[in-house]
Amino acid sequence: MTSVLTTKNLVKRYGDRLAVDGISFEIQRGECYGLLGPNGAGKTTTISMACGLLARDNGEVYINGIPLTHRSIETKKYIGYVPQDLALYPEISVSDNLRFFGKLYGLVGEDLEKRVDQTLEIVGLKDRKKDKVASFSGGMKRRANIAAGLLHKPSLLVLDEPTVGVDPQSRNAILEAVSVLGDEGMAILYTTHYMEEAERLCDRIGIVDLGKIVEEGTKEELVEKVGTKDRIRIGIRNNYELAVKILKEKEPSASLELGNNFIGVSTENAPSKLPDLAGILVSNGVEISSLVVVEPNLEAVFLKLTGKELRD
Amino acid sequence: MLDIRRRLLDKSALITSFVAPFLLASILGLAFGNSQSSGVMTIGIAFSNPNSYVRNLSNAGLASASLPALIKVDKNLTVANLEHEVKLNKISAGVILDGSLGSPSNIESLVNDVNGLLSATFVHPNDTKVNIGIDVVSGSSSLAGQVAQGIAASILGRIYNGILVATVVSSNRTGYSATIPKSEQTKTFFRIAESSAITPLPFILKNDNFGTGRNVIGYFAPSMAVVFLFIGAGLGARSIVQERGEGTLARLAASPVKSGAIVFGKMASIIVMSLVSVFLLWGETVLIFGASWGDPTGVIAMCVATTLAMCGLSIFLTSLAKTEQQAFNASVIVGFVLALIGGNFFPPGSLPPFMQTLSLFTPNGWALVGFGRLSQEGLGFTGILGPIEVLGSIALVFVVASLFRIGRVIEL
Ligand SMILES: Nc1ncnc2c1ncn2[C@@H]1O[C@H](COP(=O)(O)OP(=O)(O)OP(=O)(O)O)[C@@H](O)[C@H]1O
Ligand SMILES: [Mg+2]
Repeated sequence: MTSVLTTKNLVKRYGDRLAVDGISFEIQRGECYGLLGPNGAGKTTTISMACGLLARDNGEVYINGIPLTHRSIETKKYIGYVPQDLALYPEISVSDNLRFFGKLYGLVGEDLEKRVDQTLEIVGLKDRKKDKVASFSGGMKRRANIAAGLLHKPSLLVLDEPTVGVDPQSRNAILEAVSVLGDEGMAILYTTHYMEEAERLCDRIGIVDLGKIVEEGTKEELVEKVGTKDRIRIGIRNNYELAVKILKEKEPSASLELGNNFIGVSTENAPSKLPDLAGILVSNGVEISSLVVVEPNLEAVFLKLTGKELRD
Repeated sequence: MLDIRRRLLDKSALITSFVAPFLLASILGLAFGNSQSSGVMTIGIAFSNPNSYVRNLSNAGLASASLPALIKVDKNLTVANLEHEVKLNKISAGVILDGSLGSPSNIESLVNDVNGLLSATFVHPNDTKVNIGIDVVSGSSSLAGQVAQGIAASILGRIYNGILVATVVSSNRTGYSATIPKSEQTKTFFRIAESSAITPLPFILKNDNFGTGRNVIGYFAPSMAVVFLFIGAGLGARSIVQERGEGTLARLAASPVKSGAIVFGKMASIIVMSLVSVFLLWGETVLIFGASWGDPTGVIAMCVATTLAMCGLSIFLTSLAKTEQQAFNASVIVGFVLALIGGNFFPPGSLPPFMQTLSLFTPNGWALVGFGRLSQEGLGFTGILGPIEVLGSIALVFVVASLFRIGRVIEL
């Protein structure tokens, strides 16, 4: 089976800066692929090349096996592109916006009307269809923005950070809609710097940093690859040196992370050892301010791979 | 289509395309039209050392100068009187003619004198006061000064014309015969000169009808239309910059439509809107004011050529802008500067000569030439081929340049 989207060795330079430096990935039918990375990692640039909006300096893009050049219109009709920034005409109604963009994809007449209604239903804006986009809340605008990309039933839906600056209610509606579309067989390319979204939605995730995919896989694979063990975090009030000494004696195999006023302990089965370790520390006169069990997750993977927090 | 609808929703675009040109044309038309018919400008003419031959000759020249209605000429003034009245602003400007032109008692020297002196007239019609002994006394209004100079040049042209003919005729017919008294020869000479001086010569304000109100609007309406074509098209093109900001341009680029088609659609919608606005203004001024823009075929051709040229230039300028604000400034400021240079705010021919030359470096200047020939000179389609050719070339260059430029903007 051919992939819905294949990118091979995408490269984009802006002057001296390599914004995208050899990115390759594939997305299958019904699969949601997430590009996860910090600001300026090159996500939008990658997406723009994949959608044929931006001329690439190197690399190839195939949509359903057909090569995409940045002028090609044959392949563009398979793509539903939802830009990072709102891209609708504010002074006309949302349904007129959809009609206009629908026509660009060759939808006409009753077909068009039906699709306008359906997509507004999907994003939960049906009762506001006659309202001007300018009168919408931020979250509603975002949902309308997505609707415009869905109209022509693309085989690939490309969403560039669709939930930035959105209230929890709209955000939930968006995530729900996206996962339903994925279940219906649409391939989805999703970029975000919200870890929870990637974990919740994406079947596979590529972690992007400095224009490269530094690691790729399912959430579980990623956690595995990075080999993050369970971790506990013990907040320390006094006798810091003593506490370090005790922990080294008790858990020689554990790796310790020495924070300002806490000690991180990574070891197998850390949670079950927690009560014991805490007891020993306290009985030796160490005052404990907090105890936290940190389960391995994407955030930990991300931190380990890029050395950066995902959010500033 | 959507572009057109968006522009119809955009109030500022509506005002610039439809309301403003109509209002301004009406205001300018009424202002110049009404005041002109009552004769706002008085030009005085006085003779220093008056000599009856010269006085009659210049009167004959003046009579045939077909002055426009707005200019009244006061001929019965002394030099001192004239200068005094100009100072008091009772007269806008004056012309002082040297009445001792040559010596009537010596026909040979007169003819030689006149020929030598007047040959300069044709070279620098407005510098005649130096060469020929005409002084133009200019009042506070420089427009009046210009008109006075124009009248001086015109009268001199006629005098020269007359003397030239008289010289040729008298030397052919009589020679400088010793048997006929000099004074008789001089009389004959001036009789011929006077009758020849009536031959009309072009005057800078060519059309005697200018100022009857009707034709004033016929002139100012297309003139204003040209300015607002530029500004309106600029505001229309601003939507391209705006769409880049709004991101809808990216969405258009992502759609399976050729970028050429998108660019073409954008330009076409602007040009169609502009054409509609010009034709509407034509209709309005004809219906409401009974204005005449001139020969309909010519007007249609001029409207199309002008619209393409002004839109092309304006769209190109706007597409260079990085932000919406820049785009707005570009179209409004450049639009008004062009209008000033091109002479859109003035009655035809009222600009000083170098400005008239300068105006031909602007497309709107050429548009005015074309529309002026239609409405003021009553010429037909063949009379405007020159302006159409110039405007067509401007249109071609800038429309093509804009197509390329917008194509690049769309491809991010
Ligand atoms: N038009 C451009 N000109 C110059 N540099 C650019 C341009 N567009 C992007 N860049 C640079 O390319 C790099 C990648 O940008 P990109 O927008 O792809 O990042 P991103 O991962 O989408 O970030 P964000 O999460 O903030 O949206 C950045 O360093 C950015 O400054
Ligand atoms: Mg981005």
